[in-house]
Amino acid sequence: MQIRIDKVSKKFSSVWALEEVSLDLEPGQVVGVLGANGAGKTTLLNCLAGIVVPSRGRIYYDGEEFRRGKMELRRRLMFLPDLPMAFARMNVLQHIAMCVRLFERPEPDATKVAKILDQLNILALAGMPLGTMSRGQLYKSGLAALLVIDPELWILDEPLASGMDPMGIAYFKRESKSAGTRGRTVVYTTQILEIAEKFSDRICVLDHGGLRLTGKAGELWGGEGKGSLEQVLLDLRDQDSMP
Amino acid sequence: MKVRLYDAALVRHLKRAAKERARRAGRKSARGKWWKGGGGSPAAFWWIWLLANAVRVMAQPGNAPQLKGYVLSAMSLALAGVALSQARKLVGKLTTDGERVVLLFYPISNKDFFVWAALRFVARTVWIPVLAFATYFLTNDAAGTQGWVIQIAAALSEWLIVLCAVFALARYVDKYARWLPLVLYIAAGALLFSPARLAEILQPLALALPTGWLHVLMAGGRAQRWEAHVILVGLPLVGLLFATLYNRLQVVYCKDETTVPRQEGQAADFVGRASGTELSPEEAELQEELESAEEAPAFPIQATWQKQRLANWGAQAAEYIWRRDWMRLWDWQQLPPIERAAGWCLNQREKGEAQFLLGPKPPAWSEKWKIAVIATAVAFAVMLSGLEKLYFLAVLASAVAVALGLPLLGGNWPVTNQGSISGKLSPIFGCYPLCYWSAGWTMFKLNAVRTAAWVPLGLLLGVLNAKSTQASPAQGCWVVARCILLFLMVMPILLAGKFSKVTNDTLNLRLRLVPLVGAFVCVVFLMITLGAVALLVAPGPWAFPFIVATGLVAWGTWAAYGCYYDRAQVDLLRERS
Repeated sequence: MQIRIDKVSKKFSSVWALEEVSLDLEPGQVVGVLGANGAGKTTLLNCLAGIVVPSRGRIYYDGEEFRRGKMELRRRLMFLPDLPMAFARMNVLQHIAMCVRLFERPEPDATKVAKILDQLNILALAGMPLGTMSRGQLYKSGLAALLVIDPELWILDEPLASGMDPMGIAYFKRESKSAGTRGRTVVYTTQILEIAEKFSDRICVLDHGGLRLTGKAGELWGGEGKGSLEQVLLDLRDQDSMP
Repeated sequence: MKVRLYDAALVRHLKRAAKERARRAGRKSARGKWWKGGGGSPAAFWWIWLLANAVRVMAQPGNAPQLKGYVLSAMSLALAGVALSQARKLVGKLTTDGERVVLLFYPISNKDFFVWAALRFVARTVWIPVLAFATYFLTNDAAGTQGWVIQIAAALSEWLIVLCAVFALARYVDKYARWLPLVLYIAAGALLFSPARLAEILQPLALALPTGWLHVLMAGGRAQRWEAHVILVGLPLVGLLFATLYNRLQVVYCKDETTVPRQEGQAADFVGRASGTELSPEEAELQEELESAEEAPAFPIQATWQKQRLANWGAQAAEYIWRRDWMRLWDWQQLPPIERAAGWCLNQREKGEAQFLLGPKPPAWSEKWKIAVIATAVAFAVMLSGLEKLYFLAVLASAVAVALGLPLLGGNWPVTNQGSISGKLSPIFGCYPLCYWSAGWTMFKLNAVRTAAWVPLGLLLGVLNAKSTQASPAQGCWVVARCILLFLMVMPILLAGKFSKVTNDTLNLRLRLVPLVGAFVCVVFLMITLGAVALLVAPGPWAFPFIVATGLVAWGTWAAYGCYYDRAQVDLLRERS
């Protein structure tokens, strides 16, 4: 899915959470959105998912302007917030079934579902109500639904700090890369720079609501071995800091 | 140690320092506000109550002493309700509320927390003496300094008595029903506005309540005589009682948890007790675990046991997945009658949507309907008994029948429950492609089925109403029929409200939204007018055009809100209150 974010700004009360963010994303990319707390990362994801409507600017998916009411477009993307939205009394399988119906997908292959749950190490918890799960297990359940749906655009808020265990994170990274090769676009936020450097095809750095840097991981600091993402962010902060 | 959470002076100091640093750095100011104003307080409701009292007392020629007695009795009833509800609130504050949970993670003793939470709670009930004083000022004729002193003393006594009741009841909140305060509020309101019928039953009850004696003393302007001395002497005694109850609750709350160490041979006891009886698989498993726990370190065994159990569960889960039962929609044909009837009205896509709207479990509409039937029967029995003193029971039962049988306020839709997205609230449906239009239509159909199922009960209630107003049963039924039609007609607005309540459309109103809000107010006014004409003015079949017009306005508003929801800057995100 071709994504075009065109001068998107979002104002909450008197504060601009996003200011004139413009970005073009090609299909098949894994995009890491980085930035300080309150930089506007989640707001950008919320705009992409239709939960929040930009105060100014537009978002286009495959050249078509995105609005909340456009169900065909909304069924092509799935948003997984930091705490997945689900009914506490449903179990993982019921949650997956609900998503399959809402996203109008054909009935999934049972072996595939079992494999995903097994890989995420929640197969044994498949009949357990989501409300009784730990944060990591809940995130895995949401992720399992996303993997079954396999939308064209994956939007994930802080998947690497979601409470998932290392095996879960490794599986997420593997599946995201695999999704990229199938032409899916994965947009995620994180604060873990080491993973973002190696895992992302493209990195976007937000600061005070504006897009400060974007590019391939190595390009941001002039090539392999010449610096790091951490240094780039520290430099940004120094530019901003008080005299 | 004295706990000083939210130290205002320290917060002011830190705020100044942070602003100063942000200013020097040339940074933007901090996002959002430092403090949010508190939400609505129950005190607001009581001021309305006081105003109604005032109007009533003032409007009475000669301010009849009898009426003042009614007002004070109503206050007794209402404050008893307040004591019951506030006791539950106090328990919540001390055990499960957010602040309690948060402070569990900080080194604050139970005693310090109790003092802090209880005193804050007491401070927030300060509206009670103010309200009581205002009521006495309206109803008591005592004049001069002595009169003021008595009224103030009585108001303080009132406050302390309510607090005594709260602290005494706090240990027994699970012993009384949650709806009891509501019943007392309704009784207070009923006594105030229909004293002639209810005074005989409710006034003795009010007298028996904790604040009843005070109201007897203050009724009729006799407070300058010996009764005044009783009140003045009573004040320190009530204060003493409050201190005692406060300390007792504190002792109970701060009692250290005693841990019972596992006794040697405990497992053997268990086995001994269990021998001779056939154990269930779970019990046998537990027995085995306990027996092995005595011989080896607990953790590795537990881990092995868990591993095996998880493996078994995993196998069961996989089998369950392959059976594909979890993918099936509810079998609406197997549900109780009303739900089954609702299923007939929905196509396959709508059934899936309805399942999302209604959450994880099928609704219990038929169960509620059965209770509504019982309530209607109670109302009927009371009315047929001819005991006018019990008519208020018939009114209460009718209210229950309406509340349970009809989807008032648009019904309950779990999908509009809110969850957290990065600290803000968003509805569950926010993350899923739920179409406003099709969801609204599905909700309407389901609500219409529920309403249709309620029609026979409504007609029976109409007959009852006709009996109490000396009208014919046909007239009573006709009134109810119009009410039901109007209810169905305004349903779209209620459904739009279900979406609106989880958005920020009414928050942070900007100037350009003023015309929209104005238009909405006009629409509501127009609907009320059309509805009132259909119900009260238009004769016979002439009501139908007005009912239809109400429906057109409601559907139009629903559609207009849908366009606004889909296209305008409406966020499915709200700040936490």
